[in-house]
Amino acid sequence: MPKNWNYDRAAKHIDRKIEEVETVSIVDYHRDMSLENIPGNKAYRVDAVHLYADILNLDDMLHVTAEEGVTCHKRTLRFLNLHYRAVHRILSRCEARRVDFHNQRLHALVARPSNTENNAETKRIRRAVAIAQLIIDVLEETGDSDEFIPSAKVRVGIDAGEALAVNNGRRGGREPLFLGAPANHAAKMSGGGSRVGIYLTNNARTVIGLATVDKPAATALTTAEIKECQDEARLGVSKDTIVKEWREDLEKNPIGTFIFSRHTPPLRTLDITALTPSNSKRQEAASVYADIDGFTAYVAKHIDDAAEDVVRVFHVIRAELDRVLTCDFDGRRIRFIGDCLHGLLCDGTAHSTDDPESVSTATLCAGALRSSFELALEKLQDQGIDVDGLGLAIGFEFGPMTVTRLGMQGDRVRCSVSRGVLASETEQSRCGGDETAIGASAYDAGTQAVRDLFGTKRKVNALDYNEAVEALSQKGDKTAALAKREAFALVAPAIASASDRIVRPYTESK
Amino acid sequence: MTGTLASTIDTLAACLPALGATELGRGSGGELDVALPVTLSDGRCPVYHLRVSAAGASASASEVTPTLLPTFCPERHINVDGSFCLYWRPIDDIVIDGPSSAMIWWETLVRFLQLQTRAARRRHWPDGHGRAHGAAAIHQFRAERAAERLGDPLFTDMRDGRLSVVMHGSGAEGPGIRVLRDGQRVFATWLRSRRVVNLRRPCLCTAGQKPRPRVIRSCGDHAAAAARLALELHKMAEQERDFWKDFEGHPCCGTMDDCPLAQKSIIEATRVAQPEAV
Repeated sequence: MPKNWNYDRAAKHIDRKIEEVETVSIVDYHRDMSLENIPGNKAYRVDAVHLYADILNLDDMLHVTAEEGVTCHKRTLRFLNLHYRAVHRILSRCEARRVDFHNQRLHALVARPSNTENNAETKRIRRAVAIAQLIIDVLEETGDSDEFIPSAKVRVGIDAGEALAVNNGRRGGREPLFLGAPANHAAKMSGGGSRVGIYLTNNARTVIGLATVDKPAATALTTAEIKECQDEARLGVSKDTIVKEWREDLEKNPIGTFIFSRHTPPLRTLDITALTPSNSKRQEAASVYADIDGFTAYVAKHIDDAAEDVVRVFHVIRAELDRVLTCDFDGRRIRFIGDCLHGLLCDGTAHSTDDPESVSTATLCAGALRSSFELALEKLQDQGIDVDGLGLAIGFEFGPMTVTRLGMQGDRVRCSVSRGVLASETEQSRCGGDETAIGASAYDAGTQAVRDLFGTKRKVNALDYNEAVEALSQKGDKTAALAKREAFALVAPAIASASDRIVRPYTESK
Repeated sequence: MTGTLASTIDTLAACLPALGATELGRGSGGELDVALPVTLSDGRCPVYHLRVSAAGASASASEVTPTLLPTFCPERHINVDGSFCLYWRPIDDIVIDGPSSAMIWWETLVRFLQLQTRAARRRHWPDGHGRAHGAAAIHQFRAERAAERLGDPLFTDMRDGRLSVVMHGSGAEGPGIRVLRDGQRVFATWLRSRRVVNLRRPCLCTAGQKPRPRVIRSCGDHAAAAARLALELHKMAEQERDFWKDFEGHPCCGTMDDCPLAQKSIIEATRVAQPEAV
C-alpha cells in the first residue's frame, strides 16, 4: 500500500488538534499534584532542578565489533540495562523523579524540598549534585566483566528554574515532559563535552554560592564543591548500599538474554509495551529524528505572558508529526524527546528489509513531516498565535536497528539503540530549521534519485512532501512514483497525465 | 480544423471540462479567461486565473492579474510581457489544430504551473529540462545532440544541467575551453583548432571507463562530439551573458536564488546607497 501525505488529511487533523487545545490552563505545581496523566490542555509550572546524565561510552559499546551485528547490540543493550537498573535504584532512594531514559541520556527531576521551605532552591541543587555524584560513583561499579560490559563513564548537567510540565504520553503513555530553559540548559551541559564530571549552569552555580564562569560546560565542580553539596544534602544512602542492593536484585531477577526477532513490516503494528529483553526486535530500518528548531527560545520568550500558546503549539505540532510518521508512513514512534520526535520506518517482508524502498519512504516521510509542520504553523498563526522563529530540523539514517524495553520489571523504559539511531540524531543536529540531512549509510542504500536529491553534502533545504515526491519520481524512484500515482488517482485524467509530462520551458529575448 | 483565432480558442475551450477548469469569459480580443485548478502531488490545488490568447494555431497564457506568479522572471520562464514561455517554438512548438493537440497544450501548461510551485519552494527551476534563455537555446540544443552522441555519463550530466565551462590558458593553440561537471574538470577543447586537448585520453563514454579504456581518438566520432559539446557550451554561456545584459535594469522578483537580475539589483541598490565621493 503506497504511503503518502495529503494536504486535506493533514489540515483536518491539525484543525481537530487546535480545537482540543482551545482552552488551556496553566497552574502552579505543588507537591500534592501528580505529574502523571496531565491532561492535554493543561500544564503545570514546576520550579525544580533538572539533571541530565549522559553515558559517554555508549558509542564505544556500539563499536566493540567491526560489524554492527547481534553481539554488538546484545552487549550494548545489556550495558544500558545494567546501568538503568542502578540509576532507577538511586532515584527512588533519593526522592528524585525519572523523567526519561533516552538511550545514553537520563533526565531526572529534583522537585523537593518545595518552595515552602527556606532556601528550597539551594537545597534542591545541592541534592541534585549529591545524586549526580552518586550516579557517577555507582555506575563506575555496575559493569560486568564476565560479559565484556564496561562500567559507564558519566557526565552530568544541572540547571534549575521554572519549566512547564505537560503530558508527554500518547495512547497510554503517562510520563510528564518539561518545556523550558532549565531542562534544555541542563541537557546542553551534559551533552556539551566528553569529560566526566558534574557541570552546573551559571544560574545554578550562583544559587549555591559558586562564582560564575566563562565556560560552564567546561568547568566541572571540584571535589570540595561536590563534598560540600553531599554534606548539606545528606542523601542517607551510600554508593556501597546501592551497589549491594543492585547485585542482590540482579541475582533475584537476572537480566534475561537478549533474543532478537524481526517484526513483519509495517513497524506501525509493533507493540512496544509487549517487548522485553527476551522478546526484542532487530532489523534493518530507517531511524528518523525531527526536532522543532528554536523551541527553547520560543518557550523562554512566551513562558511568562503566553504560556497557553506554548502548550498549544507544542501539542498541535507534536500530534501532527506523530500522525504523519505513524498513519501516513506506517512508521513506529519510539518516543518524543522534548520537542523532538524519534521514529523508525521499514519496508520489506517478514524475512528481509527492502533497503532502497525504506530509504525512499524515509525521504518522503521527511518531506511530509515538513509539509505538516508548516501547515500547522500556518493554522496556528491563523488563530493569532505567534509562531515566529520555529523551524524543523530533520535527520535520518539507515542500518540495523533494535527496539526493546529495559530497566526494572514493572517500570521498563522503551529503548531503540544502534549506530544508526545515534547517527540519525547527529544528522538532525547538523541541520537548521529548514534542512533535512541523510546519513552516509542511508545515502549509499538509497536509489540514485535519493542521492541526487541530497547531493554530496547529504543535506537539502526546503524539502517538503511535494518536492520529495516530484524530485524522486522524476528520477525514476519507484516508491515515489507509486505515491505520486496514488495522489493523482482521483483527479481529472488530463491533470494526472499532465503531471507526468516533460516540459521544456524557454524565455524569449527582449 | 484551421488555425484562426476563434477556432484555436474554441478548440482550447472545448478541453476545459476534462481539466476540471471553468471558462470565466472572453476578452475584447477574443481571449479566453479561465479558472484552472492545478492539483499537486501533495493534494494541494491552487486555482490559477488565466488569460489564454491565440495567434494563428499557437496559443499563449498569462495570469489575468499576477497573483500566484511574478509579473516577469526569466528564471521562471515568464516573459517580459507576463506570458508563460511554455516551450521553444523552433523545436517544441504545439500547433493547435485539433482536440488532441489542444489537450497537449493544456497538459503542458498544467505541468508548467506544477513546476512553478516547486520553483517557488526551492528557489531554482526544479528539473534540468528548462531551455536556455534567448539565443542560448540553439547552442544548448546542439550541445545536447553532441552529448547524446557521447552517451552516458555526459548525456545525463547535460540533461541534469551539471555541465559548465571556463576558459583557461593561452598556449600555441590559443585558449582552451575546460568543461566542468559540478565544478570539477572533465575534459578540455582548444578553441582555435576545435579539437579535444590530448586525443589519447580515455574516451568520455563508457568505453573509456573500462579496465582497458578506449582512447577518444579511436572511439567512433566521440572526439568530434566532445569538441562540439565544449564549443556549444561555450557559445551557450556567451549568449546567456548577452541575454541578461539585455535585461539590465529590470526589477527582480526576488523569488529565485542566483538570478543574475537579483545580483544586478543588489549592485544597483548598493550603488545608490553609497555616499558620493568627496
